[in-house]
Amino acid sequence: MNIKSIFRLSLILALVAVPLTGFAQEGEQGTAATLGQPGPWIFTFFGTEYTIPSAVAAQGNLESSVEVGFYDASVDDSPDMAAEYLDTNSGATVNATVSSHGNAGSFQFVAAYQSADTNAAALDFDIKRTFRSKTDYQTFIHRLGHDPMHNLEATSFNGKVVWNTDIRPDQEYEFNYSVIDSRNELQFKGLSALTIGLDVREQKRKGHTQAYTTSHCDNCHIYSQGHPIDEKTSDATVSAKVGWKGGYAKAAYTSRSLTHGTNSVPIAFDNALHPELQVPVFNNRLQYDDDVGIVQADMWPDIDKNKTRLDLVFNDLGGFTITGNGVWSETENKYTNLKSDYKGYIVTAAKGWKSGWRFRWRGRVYSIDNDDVFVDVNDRPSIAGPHAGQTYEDVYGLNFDHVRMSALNRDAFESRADVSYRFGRKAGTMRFIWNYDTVDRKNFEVMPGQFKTTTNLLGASYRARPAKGWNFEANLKYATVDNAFMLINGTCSTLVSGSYPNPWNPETPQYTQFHEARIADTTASASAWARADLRLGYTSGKTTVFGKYIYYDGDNNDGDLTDWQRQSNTALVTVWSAPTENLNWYATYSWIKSDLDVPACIPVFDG
Amino acid sequence: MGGQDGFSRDMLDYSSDSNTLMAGLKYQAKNKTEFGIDFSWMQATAELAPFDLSADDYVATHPPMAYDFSTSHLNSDLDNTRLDADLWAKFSFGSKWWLRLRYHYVDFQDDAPYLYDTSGTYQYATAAVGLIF
Repeated sequence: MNIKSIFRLSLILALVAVPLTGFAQEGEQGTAATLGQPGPWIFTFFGTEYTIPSAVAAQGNLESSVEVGFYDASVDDSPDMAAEYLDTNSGATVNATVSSHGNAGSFQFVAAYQSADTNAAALDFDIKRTFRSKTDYQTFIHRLGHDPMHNLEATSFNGKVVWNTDIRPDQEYEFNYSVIDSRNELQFKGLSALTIGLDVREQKRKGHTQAYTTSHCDNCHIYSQGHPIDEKTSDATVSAKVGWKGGYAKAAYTSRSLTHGTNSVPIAFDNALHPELQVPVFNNRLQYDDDVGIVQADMWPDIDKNKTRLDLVFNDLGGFTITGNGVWSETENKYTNLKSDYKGYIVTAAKGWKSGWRFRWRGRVYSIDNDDVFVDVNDRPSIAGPHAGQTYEDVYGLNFDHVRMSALNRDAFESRADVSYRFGRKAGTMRFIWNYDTVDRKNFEVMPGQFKTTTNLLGASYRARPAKGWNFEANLKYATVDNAFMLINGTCSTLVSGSYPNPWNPETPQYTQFHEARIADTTASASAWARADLRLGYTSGKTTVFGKYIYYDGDNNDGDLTDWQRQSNTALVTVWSAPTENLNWYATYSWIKSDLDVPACIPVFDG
Repeated sequence: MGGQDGFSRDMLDYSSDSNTLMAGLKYQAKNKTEFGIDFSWMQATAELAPFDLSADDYVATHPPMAYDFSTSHLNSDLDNTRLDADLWAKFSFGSKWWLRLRYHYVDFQDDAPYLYDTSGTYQYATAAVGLIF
């Protein structure tokens, strides 16, 4: 980069600042976005050239451009879907590029600014190829919509109702998303085998989301209010890579923090009353109501995570290409100090023979170990009615304090193996696949007495280029899953209790009895599935046609009353053509159809 | 005060269907003037087949407990259509100056609102002058 390019960059920065000044009334985001950072999507949006023309790079010259304009956007009716990621303002636009290439290194800066909600920039440079830096930034708006809660309104003839209160009826729920991503490498000329890297990424979300809280007992009362978002996720990774003729070794350490710069939402729950008598007779069945005053709800904890990764690659070890890596990470909830540990290892091996045979295998083992959580249920005495002065445990002998152990705790193994044979260019290649996975859960039964899910997948594929310009591919897969993920006795309570004069009658069944009488096992996972797809393509000098069809069918009838099934069909046809040097066109049609069959089971309950 | 009398069960059949058509054209004249159009149309529907959880045996002895499920399945209906059209042109004047024009139109129709009607139309137009130096 020389003085001339610095001058041009300064000029462009000044031009970029013009609209920022004009939009100062939009708040701090306007200034924060100043040269922000680039995002490839917006360059496409504005038509900016994102890559350096090869002619410019080869000639080692300097080229700059600036584009200044005006835009006007508008919305009729709701913007929530039509402009979900688009800003609807009006104003000036600035779009600029500076690139310089010479013996000392190369430099490219690209920026596009439309508004505080829509802007992007990118900065790439190197110093004699010893230090290389690539940074980009983008920001855009995401509208979330405001649920008016019309579906949360219901009444009955005896005082049981569902109703809602929107504390912020005029609040627009949306946030501004921005991300900066920077990759920096240092590679010395006399020590080119060593590459030192520093990666920095920062993602922000700022705005409001809709928060719901529910008060329950005399009726269901749902409150809605705005929960401010000021979320920041910061990643920093340092890495070192040593390469040699036959492979490389790489070590990396990543530190991540997720912080919320806003408080949780405050809420005062309703007084829990009997719906008809309007007296507080159920206090020993609720952990709290209005007697605790204003409490914090919809809480989001700050989280820290650190990760260490080692990679090892051998290009030729006894004729095989061998890779291996290990990942160790620890994630901590900064509010509860609960931790989650992950350990994972992957080994791959691949070899091809001159005869046309080829073999590939990938093995992975990993474990997840989350801390246990002790749940200390707040046992309150009733203050009125037959149970006045008694807790639920005093009356029924049940205490709900418990240690919650994570359903994610597991030891898992994955194996992916395939063998292929190439008959020839026209005759094609045949491949056979065998995938074998196990997930051994520590704390969660997926079938009575079974904690382990085992998946076997067999597949075959054929790929060929039968004639000039033509290509064809067919894939078939079939999988069986022993003990697919399932909730044992998740629904269909068989309890027949009879009727009792009031809830305090000693013989009136309690919720634990309703649950213990459930008999149906529920799932959303297939115990057997098949997938088939066909692909056909044709390319002439000026036109390409491609078609694809995919069929999937999976079901699960392994449990009691499970009866789960899903089918889907997907088809796509696309044509691209460039009949002349000046003209190109494309057309694509896609179709997706999906059917899901799943049982619904409700208790027949009067009370 | 009543209690529980077992359960009522029926199968739910949920189906979804979507069709998407996209087409575009780009033309570049010898004087570097460019013109482009991109168009997409998407239509997606989802629906639940009628179901019945009426618990006939229980209702026969407890008539006030009769519920009508005949229209419940309609609450899960989705029916959306989205049209996107994007037209742009870049007129070059000599080797250094250009004028860029762009118009973007989006129409989203929500024919089976779920929480609320999200139908809306978005329009965007821009004109900009550029210089290479």
